[in-house]
Formats: sequence, structure tokens, C-alpha cells
Amino acid sequence: MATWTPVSDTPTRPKKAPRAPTPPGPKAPPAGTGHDGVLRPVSPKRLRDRLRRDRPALAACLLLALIGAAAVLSPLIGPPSAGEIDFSQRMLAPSPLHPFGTDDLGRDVLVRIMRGGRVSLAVGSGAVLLAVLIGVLAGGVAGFREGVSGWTIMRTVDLFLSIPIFLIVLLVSSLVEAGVLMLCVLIGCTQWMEVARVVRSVVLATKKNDFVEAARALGVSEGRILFRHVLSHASGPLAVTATIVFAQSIMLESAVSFLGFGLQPPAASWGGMLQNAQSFLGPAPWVAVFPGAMIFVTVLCFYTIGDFLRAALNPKADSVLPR
Amino acid sequence: MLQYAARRLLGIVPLVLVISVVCFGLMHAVPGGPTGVLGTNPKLDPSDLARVRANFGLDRPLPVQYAKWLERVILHGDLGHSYVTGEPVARMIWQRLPATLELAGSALLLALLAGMGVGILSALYPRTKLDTFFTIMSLLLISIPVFWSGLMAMMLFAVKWGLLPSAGLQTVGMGFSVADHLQHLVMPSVVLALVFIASWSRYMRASLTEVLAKDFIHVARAKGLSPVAVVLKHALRNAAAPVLTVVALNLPLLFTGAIITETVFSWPGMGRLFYEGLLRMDYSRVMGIVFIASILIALANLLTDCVYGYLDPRIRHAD
Repeated sequence: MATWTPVSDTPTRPKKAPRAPTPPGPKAPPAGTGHDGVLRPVSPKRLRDRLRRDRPALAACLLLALIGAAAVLSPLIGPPSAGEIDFSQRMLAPSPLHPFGTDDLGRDVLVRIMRGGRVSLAVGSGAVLLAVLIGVLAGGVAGFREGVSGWTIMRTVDLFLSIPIFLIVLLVSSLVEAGVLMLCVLIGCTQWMEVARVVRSVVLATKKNDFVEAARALGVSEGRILFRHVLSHASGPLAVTATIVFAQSIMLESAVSFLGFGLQPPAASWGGMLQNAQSFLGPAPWVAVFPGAMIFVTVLCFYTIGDFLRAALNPKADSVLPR
Repeated sequence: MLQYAARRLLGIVPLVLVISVVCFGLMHAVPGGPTGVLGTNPKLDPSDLARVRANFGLDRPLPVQYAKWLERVILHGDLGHSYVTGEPVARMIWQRLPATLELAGSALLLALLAGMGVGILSALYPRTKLDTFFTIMSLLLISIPVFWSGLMAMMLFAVKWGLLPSAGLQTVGMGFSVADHLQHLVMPSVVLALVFIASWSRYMRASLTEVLAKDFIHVARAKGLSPVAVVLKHALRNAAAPVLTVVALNLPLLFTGAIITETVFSWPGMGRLFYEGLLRMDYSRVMGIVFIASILIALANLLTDCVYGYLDPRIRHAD
């Protein structure tokens, strides 16, 4: 796991100016920022090469692709009656016909898992998009404008970090009819703080560069400097944080569903299936084992990829630092 | 040190006030307001509902209601009455608080001891088989949802092997005995602690690795101190402070985990009280719990700040 191959700097880089950043702009490659503030550009090609050598990360990518494909294609797989209630097939142990067994209503667990994957992955992606959007805006402004607005934003981050946010998520999802979109909004609004902190620290380090001053001298507007020139340097750390936020969003969604405040039955979701499975752990343990295993594997894949990205973008960072 | 603690204590007052405003706002943003659940009863006459609302003071303007609520909370510790059972919310929470504190506290203690221990071992023997094993274990453990590990533990230890009781505080029908109670506590607290062991051991490893490379450690070694003294007396004190910040930041998560664990293992704590309150749409109870939980978390953060200030004197003179 801890492949420690540092991303070597390009030999042509002048020794005297280690902070020389890559030319900013829409085509700038993603860049990571180490603790030392040195920007390390990593081209997509080099990232791919590295991925090919990193077996755990490669396996995680393939597995995620498989889970994603199974979820997206689930309506097309099997006969239309698959996953329907069938009382003659109640609580059957795993067999070739039902690889993951059937539940208390005779529904095939594998089919329900594939359909539930749609919910988990959709909520995860939606929540990540929203969290990144809020986090980049808040963190960007907080880093760029260190005055009153920066202070206010960071105190808001502190506030969000010190309230029992899960209680509030549960409360709101019990008040409103929880659809996929609602869950995305709810979870996204509770996951942006880490993104904001990461983006802010990159912006704080990046804005001291000469190219920012140069852009300012050329008359580029402040907003354009921030969004076009400074924030492009946050893409690396942002990618790392986004994978972690994705994992945490899936975890949060399944926890909300597990407690019964997520998507309402008969819609399948991994957490919801587990809630149902609690009542017959003895007679049909497979109904509890497989949906939870799916959450576990998916989250594990995201953490593995996040760890790979962290190591690839910042060779100085310690590998596997879960939060 | 006392002055520092007092300053920090003052700092949490605005935080708790903001949270209370949010709570209050949420409670009234509910369709039908706090008595919304009564409105769903078709047998209830609208005039009766108006009488109930007037009784609870819900017909007055919101700012007035908030001021009254705050006054009662501060002066009398009164969080209002449950809109469903009429019981004082403060009493309900007070009855359930010990169970939650016991569960969260034992998990916290376990996670701190095991997490620190694992982290120290990993930092002392970096890149060995032991370190790799802990690394992979922590990655696996951090990916397990707590409700699933709870169900799996219950399935194996209670249902299949019958080693441990599956739910509750004590065996029903038996008098209270410490051994029996501890048996019930083992599974929930270990399940709750696992994810924090995984996470905190990584932070401990990173922090201690950094400290062990510092010059003063080389000096301590060079002057002939035993390796144990170097690690325990010199390195650990410096390495512990950043880890404690993470611990404090994770306390809301610990609380979250406690809610889920309490639901899985039918542990009659605040989390379960909250969950039942949500199911019965008892919003005064829900708000009271959110409020108390916020205060508990703020106090825990305060405690961490004080420990931090004690471990690193530079902190308490910084601001």
C-alpha cells in the first residue's frame, strides 16, 4: 500500500525558484500542494501510470466501476419480476438461483442490492457535488479575503463542526419527505466543512505567489484571479477530499436509511435493507450480511483511492491517513 | 491555567446561544409547529388545538417565545414539556443521560487506550510487518459502518455462539448485578470504539513519528535516558496534543455513533430517546436533546482545550 515513489520534479525546473508554479489557466494540469507549500504538478498520464502500478488502488477503481455499472444497469438485468415480492420464496439461503439469498418477503437480495446501489451512489455523488461547490466557494473566499468575511466563514465552519449534525440531519429528514434529491442536499450541507478547510489552506499558500500579483497588475479582476488562477491549484487536494467526502456521504445516507428516515420502502437502499434485516438475524443472516458488505466495500474503495491520490499528489504525506 | 479555562468557558456561550436559536427555529419551521402531531388527529377540535397551543404559549410572537424558553432554561434548567406525553423534557433526558455517558465514555476510554497504543507501536516500529498490519486493519475498520458491525457482532456473539447478551442494559427479570451489566456493555462499546481506534491510531502514529525525528529526542537519547523514558516522558507529551484535537473534533461523531449503537443494541440512552422522539414527532423532546448534546460537545471541546493548554503551555499564552 505504501508505495513510496515520489513524483519527481521535472529536471528542467530552475533550482532557485522551487515555488515556481505551473502556468495557470484552463489547461493547467491538476496540482497538489504539499505541507511545504511546494506545488507538484501531476499530469493525468503520470497519474494513470502510477495507478497501473498501485494494485490496491487499481483493484478499488475496477471494483467501484463494477458496482457502479451493476447499479446503473440493474433494471436491465434479469427478468422484470426479479426482486418482486414472492411469498413462496421467503428467506431462502444463498443458492445458484439467488446468490445472496432472499429476504422475508421473498425478494432476491442481490437484485435489491443492485437497485439499492443506485440510491447510495446517486446520493453520494449529489452530496459530493454540493459539498464541493459550497466548500470551494466558502474556502476560496475565506482564504482570499482574510478579513471579516474570512473570519465569519471559518467561524461558521467551526460551528458546523461542533454541533451534533447527525441529529439535525435525522430531524430534517424525518420532517420532510426524503427523496434522493433531498438527501443529497441534506448530506451535502453537512459535508462541506472539510472541503472548505482544504481549499482555504491551498488558497492561503497560493495567493502569495508572484503570478497573482502579476495578474493583478495586468488588471485581472479579483474574482477571476481567485476562480481562474488560484483555485486551479486546489484541484489535487480537492480530489483527495472529495473521495473521502464521497465515502462519508454514503455512510451517512445508509445510517439515515438504517434508522428509517431515508427513502421509504419499497424503494431499496443498502441502509434500509439492513434495518429490515435486524428482525431476523437468526433465521436469515444473509439479508444482514450482504447489504452491509456492499456499504463496507464501496466505502473501502473510496478510501483506498483517496489514499492513492494523496500519495500520488504529495509524496511527503504519510500514506493511509483515514479520518 | 484557571484564567485560561475561564476564557474558554466564556467562548462557548455564544456558540450554545446560536445553536439554541437554530434549534428553536427548526422546531417552529415544522409544518403545524411544535404541536403538528396533534393536528394530524381528526378527532381534535380546532378550538381545542388552539387551547393547547395557548397553554404552551405557542400563540405568542416567536421572539417572545424564544426569550421565555431561554429564561426558563437558564433560570430553572427547564427544557419545556413533551408535547406527546406531557413529561418534563429535562427529566426524560436526565433519566437517560447516564446510560449514554456510560456507553460513550467506555467507548472513548477504550478507543483512546487502544488507539494510542496501536499508534505508538506503529510509530516505534515503522514499516515493519506489525505496522503494515495495523495500517491495513485501520483502513478496513474505518470503512465498516457502525450499524453493520453492530449487527454482525450481534449475529455472531449473541445469536450464533450465545456468548454475550444481544440487547438492553441487563438481563430482563434478573436483579441488577455488575457482571451482568458489564456483559451487556461489552459489545456496544467495543463496536462503537472500533472506528475511533482505527482513526486515532493513525493520527497518533503520524504525530509521534514527527516528534521522534526532533532534535530534543536525539538529545534525550544521547544523554542516556532509557528508551521507555524517552518515549513516555518526552515524546508522548508532545505527540499527544495534536491527537487530542482530533479526539475533540470527533466527539460529535462519537455521539452520532452512540445513537446508532443504542438503536441496534436497544441501549436505553439519549440516542434512543431521540430516535423514539423522532418516530413520535415529539419535537420539544428532540430539541431538548439537540440542545443538551450541543452543550455536552462544547464542554468536551473545552475540556480538550484545557488538557491541550496543560500539555503545551505555549497554547494558553498564545491568545
